[in-house]
Amino acid sequence: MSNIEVYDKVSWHFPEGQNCTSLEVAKVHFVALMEWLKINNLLSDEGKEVLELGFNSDFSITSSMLDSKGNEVLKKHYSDLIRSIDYTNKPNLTPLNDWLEITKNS
Amino acid sequence: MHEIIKALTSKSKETSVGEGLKETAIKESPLQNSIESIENSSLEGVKAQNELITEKINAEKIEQIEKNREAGVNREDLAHKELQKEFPDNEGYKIEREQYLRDKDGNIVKDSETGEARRIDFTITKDGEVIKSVEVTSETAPKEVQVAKEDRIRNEGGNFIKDRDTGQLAEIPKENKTEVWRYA
Repeated sequence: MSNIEVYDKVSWHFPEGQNCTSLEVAKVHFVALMEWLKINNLLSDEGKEVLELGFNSDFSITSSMLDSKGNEVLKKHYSDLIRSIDYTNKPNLTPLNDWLEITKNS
Repeated sequence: MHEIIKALTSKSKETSVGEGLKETAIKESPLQNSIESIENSSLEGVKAQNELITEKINAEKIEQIEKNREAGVNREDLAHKELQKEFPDNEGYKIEREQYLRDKDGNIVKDSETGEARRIDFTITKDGEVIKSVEVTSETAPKEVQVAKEDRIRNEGGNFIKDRDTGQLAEIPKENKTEVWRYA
């Protein structure tokens, strides 16, 4: 069995979730996070391939889309990131940037 | 006549002085202090109540995104466990998650109508062939659009998935349609 972790999916928020008004709203935190992962070179080949397809209702972020460092940061901080945002705001990526700084210097 | 006017003016002055005294008396009275105190406290109370309501709404909004994610994770965990029971790996089955439909050359196929690709929640393979594919969703979410997209992609040659471990393609037989499993 190929064990991958699914961090989050667009469809869990829209149409399956509650109080998320549209697909566009559901995609906001995925777009921000994927941009951050791309800029910081934390995507695997699969992640780069998926990113090229764009964001639609089938989009998800999985462990197979990230390299080991990308997985380390999401395992540690994704739940906190989710707990700090709502559907009306872009996520605050400061904790992820802080983590990146710490790991660069260590 | 002059006396009458004088008397009236005097009466009017008395009235005015009387009202002024009344006002001063109220302004300085414990009653006025109470009125001000009630006004202030009720204004502060309303303000504080509004702040509490706003905080509660914001907290609920923040919690909602997490709740939706958790519900999705739980639904897929349930489905995954059912599939693991039905298709044990010691019998040669392999359960793959989040697989895109690809063509015979391994390229992800995009729907000609929407330009979108199709990623399937669970696919089960055995001996290099996909024997089942499953889409997990909530009890009420509409799936017609995704099913129609998948049908078009399948008709346009998207009949394969790529094994992440081996890189080998596994074919989905024409007659196999993705099942939609619904959970609360």
